[in-house]
Amino acid sequence: MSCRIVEEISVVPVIAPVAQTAAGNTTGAYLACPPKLGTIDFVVRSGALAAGKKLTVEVYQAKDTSGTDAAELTAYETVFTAPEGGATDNSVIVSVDNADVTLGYVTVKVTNDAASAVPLDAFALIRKEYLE
Amino acid sequence: MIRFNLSPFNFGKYIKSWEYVDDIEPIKDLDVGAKAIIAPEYLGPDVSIRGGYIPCPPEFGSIDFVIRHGEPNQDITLLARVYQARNVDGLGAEEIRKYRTEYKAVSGQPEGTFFILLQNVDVTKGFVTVEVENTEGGEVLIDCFALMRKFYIY
Repeated sequence: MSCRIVEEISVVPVIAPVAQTAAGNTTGAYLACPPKLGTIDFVVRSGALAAGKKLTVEVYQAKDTSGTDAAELTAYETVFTAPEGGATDNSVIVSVDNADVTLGYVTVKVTNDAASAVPLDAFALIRKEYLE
Repeated sequence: MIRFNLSPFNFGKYIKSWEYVDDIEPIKDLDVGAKAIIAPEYLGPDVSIRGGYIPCPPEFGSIDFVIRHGEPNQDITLLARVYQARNVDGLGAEEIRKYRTEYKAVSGQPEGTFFILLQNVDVTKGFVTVEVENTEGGEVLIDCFALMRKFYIY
């Protein structure tokens, strides 16, 4: 590959870095998902999680950026459980096929069951030529 | 659009046949992954965080470091430095000075992203990481990762 990755792939913010409240959830910004998009890789990054605590990532689709008629794409639900001893740096990647996003817009909702606030953020990796 | 089918003989130098193609399928797999460098955490005034060292052999070509931040509680300045070392523990660490990057964010800015585009040929010791320092007052939550071809992530 001769070109840089950031020349091909866009890093699109979905959830700004934030300290998510204990046992809280955050729904990210809805991104347009045009027919030729192919794949969107949602990456959820989190800081420290105690052993056995979970980070649940759900994918939602909607008709517009406001989340009208939002519906979960249940097949993409992903649960990360911190191993014994805890985990200090976690990444959950969910690859969404645009063919499944029939309403046109897609995002992720992240939920934790930790006993204290969890610093986290989420972004999407999308091929630049398919961005509107 | 015309698709050319190349002959397998003579290393594909000759066109065996051609055909009209009505549409091109989108590239499904992004072939790019994100490797953790610094976990999301708060960075206070005059505090720096150095991430974990990752291998960076010459054949990788390029690694794109991405630093993201949340809303700062006041105007901040982030200084990002790239360090190379001989192993994952940071043996013989030294800064690759040319990649030092300063980034400013203002209070009220909900989030931001900046990049450090590394050329692997500059990493002569084999392992590389990023250090982020908050050189101006305030506190901000940051995250740092590397975009790499999936083939090289391990």
